[in-house]
Amino acid sequence: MIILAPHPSRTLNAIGLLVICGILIAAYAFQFALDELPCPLCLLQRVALVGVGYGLCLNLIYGAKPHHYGIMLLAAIYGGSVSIRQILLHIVPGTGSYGSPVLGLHYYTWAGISFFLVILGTAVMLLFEGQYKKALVDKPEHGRFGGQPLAKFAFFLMLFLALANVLTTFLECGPGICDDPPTDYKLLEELKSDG
Amino acid sequence: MPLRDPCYKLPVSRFYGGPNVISLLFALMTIAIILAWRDRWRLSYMVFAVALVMSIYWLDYHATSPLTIRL
Repeated sequence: MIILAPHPSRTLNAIGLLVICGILIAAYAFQFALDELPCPLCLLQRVALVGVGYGLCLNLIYGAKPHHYGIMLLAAIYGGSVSIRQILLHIVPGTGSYGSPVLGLHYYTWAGISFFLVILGTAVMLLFEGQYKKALVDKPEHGRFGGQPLAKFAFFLMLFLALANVLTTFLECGPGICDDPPTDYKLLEELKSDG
Repeated sequence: MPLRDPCYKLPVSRFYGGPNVISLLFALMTIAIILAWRDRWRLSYMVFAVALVMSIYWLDYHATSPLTIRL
């Protein structure tokens, strides 16, 4: 059995959550800098990233538990499925692509790689049984997040990004079904034309 | 004059299809995170499960284009 004390486990989960937040921030950077609106499948991949983030948040709040990692795996498998579906749409030469390539790969391909790495990382983390031991669980004086500022910061950054995605998706799609492909921020355009 | 949806004060014809589900998926995930933070973990898991099932449904809904590959 491999022993991993709760603090290293929580720190690794906090770093993992910051990486997920980094991917969501990068997605926003490309969305606004290049004015490229995310398609419905792209948005579903972001939903899956938030789902992975949810599993990591549970580990940060309550300490590492196998079912929290299970939640991460479910979200990553779902996200990977969406990515593979989008990769297959454009895998044949001449069938076009969606969005600009980044370092030679399109966003959905990067997303597919990210979900694969999440599954791999989660599987590795599941090997360390010591992190679940009751004797190693946080002491009450540590408070929430094991008293770790990094864990707290990562949690609130994830919460902020999840809320931001609610808002920007609502602006893009309005209170209906998202256009495929999207051409503008539907709700803003509609409000402008009404005004 | 276009028919209006009283909930959104916007023309229904432009937004036919009901509530914005992808925005709703993000909202459900956010609620799940907040519930976990507030120690309502059972409810939090339920909200996450609902969001995941809805996400699968909407993947099926949006995955309409035929794939030009042979499996």
